[in-house]
Amino acid sequence: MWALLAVILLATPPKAPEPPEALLRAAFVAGSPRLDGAIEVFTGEHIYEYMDGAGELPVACGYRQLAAARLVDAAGRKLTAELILCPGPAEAFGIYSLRRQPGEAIVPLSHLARHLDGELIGWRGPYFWVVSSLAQPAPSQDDLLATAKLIEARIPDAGALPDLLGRLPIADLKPDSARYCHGKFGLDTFWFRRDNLLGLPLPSDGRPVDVEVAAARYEKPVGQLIVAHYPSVELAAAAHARWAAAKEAHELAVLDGAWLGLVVDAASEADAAVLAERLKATMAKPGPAWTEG
Amino acid sequence: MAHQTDRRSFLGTGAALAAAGLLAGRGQAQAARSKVIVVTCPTAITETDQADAAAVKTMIDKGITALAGTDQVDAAWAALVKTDDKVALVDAGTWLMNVPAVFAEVARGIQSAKPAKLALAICKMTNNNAEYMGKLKAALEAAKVSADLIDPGLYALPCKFGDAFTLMATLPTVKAHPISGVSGAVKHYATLTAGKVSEYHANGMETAGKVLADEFGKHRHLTIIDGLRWGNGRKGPSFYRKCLLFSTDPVAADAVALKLFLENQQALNNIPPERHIQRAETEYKAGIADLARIDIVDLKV
Repeated sequence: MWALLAVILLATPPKAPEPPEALLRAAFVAGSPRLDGAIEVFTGEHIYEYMDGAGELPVACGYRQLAAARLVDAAGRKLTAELILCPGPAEAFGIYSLRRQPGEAIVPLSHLARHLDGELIGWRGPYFWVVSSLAQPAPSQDDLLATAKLIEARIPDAGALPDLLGRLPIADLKPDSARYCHGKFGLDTFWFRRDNLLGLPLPSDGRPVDVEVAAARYEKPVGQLIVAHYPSVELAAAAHARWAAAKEAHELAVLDGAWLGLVVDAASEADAAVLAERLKATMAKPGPAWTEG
Repeated sequence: MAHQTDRRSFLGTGAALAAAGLLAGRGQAQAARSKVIVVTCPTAITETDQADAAAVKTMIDKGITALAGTDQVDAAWAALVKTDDKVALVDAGTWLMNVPAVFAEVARGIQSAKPAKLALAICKMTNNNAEYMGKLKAALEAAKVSADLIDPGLYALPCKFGDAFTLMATLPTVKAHPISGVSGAVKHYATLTAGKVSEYHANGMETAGKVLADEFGKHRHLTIIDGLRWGNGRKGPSFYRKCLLFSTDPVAADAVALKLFLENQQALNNIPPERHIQRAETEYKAGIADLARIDIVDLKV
């Protein structure tokens, strides 16, 4: 019987994520807030028509589809709900991580969500979501959370943070500073270099999003650690060589096979060395998958 | 401000400088200093986003006369907008949309100069926002500007301005932005490209000024930055600065607006926000970004 069950389970393909449009429609077909007009759907480069340059961050995370719904609540206030389907939970967290900043108001939901100026953002499973309103006065945090819960209730699995974060030390981590991305547009938001030193994909080069990057900021000593995972040892070594040729003060690198770690934004060479030692140890012996909050 | 000029001294040289920017095209405007008029009015808008249309009109009258170097409002508009001009008045686009009274009053002013053509270019996404468009059309009606002048096909990516216009009147807002650090006049022009806007996104939008130089290099420019509120990403108003900036040099207007923005707001993420503006001058010769070569006229209402 167990063998039969195993065969059935193995033969059952994983259920594809529900399209964002259908998920929003189901969440807001009735009640408060409810749909107020047609749901707009964007794929590929059409995302720029909706949010222009801000679309680069979902593109850099390999997004599959964006759906945007206008809502109206029982008080007549207008809200917008956006849902972005990503390749997986890592990328959904990735978009979230690039949009929140340390020090902003963070509230617990499935994972952590960020509330600022009438906008609540968060993620669950392979979906990144935004609930926002330009109404004056803005809906309360509780109102926005209630709307977000209607979305999250439609997403079966919570998903987990990217495994790559486990290669970064957790001691003295600056809260809410962890980042995850694939492309250079994502990297630029937390470590800007004009040249593509890490050799990350750009939307224009047609490459698959096959390099993962995770980063976090640290408080003691102050600095930022970045770790990139490449499809091959050779690609990691090439990125290391590019970085070495353009190295700035107080930067150090740790090359470990297909993983490249960087220490940046440190205040001194000594601080960079302390952070590099921690990074080297964690890269050699990765910790468990992170949780936030 | 680092480079204040009192209004009287500005008026002495203002007409010549305005002519340099307006009549000679980008190349000669580069040779001259640029100027930016900053008009601030504490009562123009409340912090619940309620604009005072009369105060906005006073701000625009003051800014446009200072820019043109005359005390007469109609004469100022006539100096800036010629009767043979074909004018596109372009809104800020979506996320931090213009205060409707600003758009409507600028439209009224341009219309008063009787240009050969006036088209109101409203971003496609803004056009889809029925609530906002209702407010905008009401403001246009109050300003006696026909909403029939709205051309919904112009500002839809890719945009369709091309050579159909001689004067680009743009009303960018300023907001922290995820890929340019801060978005203002130069980044706004990049979105007006007839090409693929994504080609100008890379490396902190370092090539944004190329659109201004290449696709709008033959146009004259009237840039009025709607600084009644600053924005933060896509979250709407974050600070009520209550100012408008006027210039015939979009790059100069952007450089000054960024300076004001950074006085109490932050760029988004790690992107150096001045870089794409400076490169609009150094790489593309599209205007003046060097604050030392911009005469800033600071006026209060």
